Amino acid sequence: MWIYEKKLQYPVKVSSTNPRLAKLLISQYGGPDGELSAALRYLNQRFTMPTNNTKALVTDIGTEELAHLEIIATMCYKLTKDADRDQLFAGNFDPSFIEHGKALYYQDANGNPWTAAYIQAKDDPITDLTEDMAAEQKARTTYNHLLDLTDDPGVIDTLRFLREREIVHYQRFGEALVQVEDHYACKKVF
Amino acid sequence: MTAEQAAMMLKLQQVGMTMDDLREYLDTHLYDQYALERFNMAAAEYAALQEEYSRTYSPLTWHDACNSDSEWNWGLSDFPWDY
Repeated sequence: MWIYEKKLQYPVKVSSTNPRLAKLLISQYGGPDGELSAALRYLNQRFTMPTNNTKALVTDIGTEELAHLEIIATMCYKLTKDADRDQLFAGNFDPSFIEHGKALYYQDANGNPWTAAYIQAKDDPITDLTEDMAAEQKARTTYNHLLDLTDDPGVIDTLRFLREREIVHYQRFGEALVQVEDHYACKKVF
Repeated sequence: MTAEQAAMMLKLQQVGMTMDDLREYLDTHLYDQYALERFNMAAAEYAALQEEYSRTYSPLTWHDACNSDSEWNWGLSDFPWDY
């Protein structure tokens, strides 16, 4: 069960209409290392995690990723909602506009739709937590790339927050991995 | 959204973020007394803020959607991307 709060986890301030930037940011909405992939990956892994605190961790991080998904969506929406025809063309947003208008769609920056092939579930918590650590690093790198190409100060501030959370989650998954390894080491009967 | 409401929303975001971070930390540090104290302090502060925000402005969750007898303010109040 989830309860929605009418609140963004972190403030979003967008300086000006910029469909080109929205087209790049959409990768963290529906791209391979985006927030949808993250949320669905972690929430799905809960059922085969071996300990309650690991189940709590993937629940809590997976839930936070949904909040990040909403932050990305809010930025993309604000960057495009007032865009006129010329701005959509100039921003290379017109191909997406043909299929979706200004609606958000789960796609990467090249327009590839989201697929479950982006995420794994192996029924092995050591494998799954290792994937989670890699996923956080891939997301961090994507945020680095986005920061390289962003000059909107409000968007930069929010992207820096999101990048920081990837680093924190990488740390938490690393701790959980060590604890799960210890858990299995203690359970061995010789 | 008025400046007063925006300031209170920012406070909710700050205390909420403190809780989000501590919650995940505690998931892998189950007996960290200092983190537990910090979490409990933040949770109490958040509950008070949530109650005041919902009573003064608009409900934060549908649990808070009871500050009026005459209208369903959960369905009337803005969503975060519109304010």
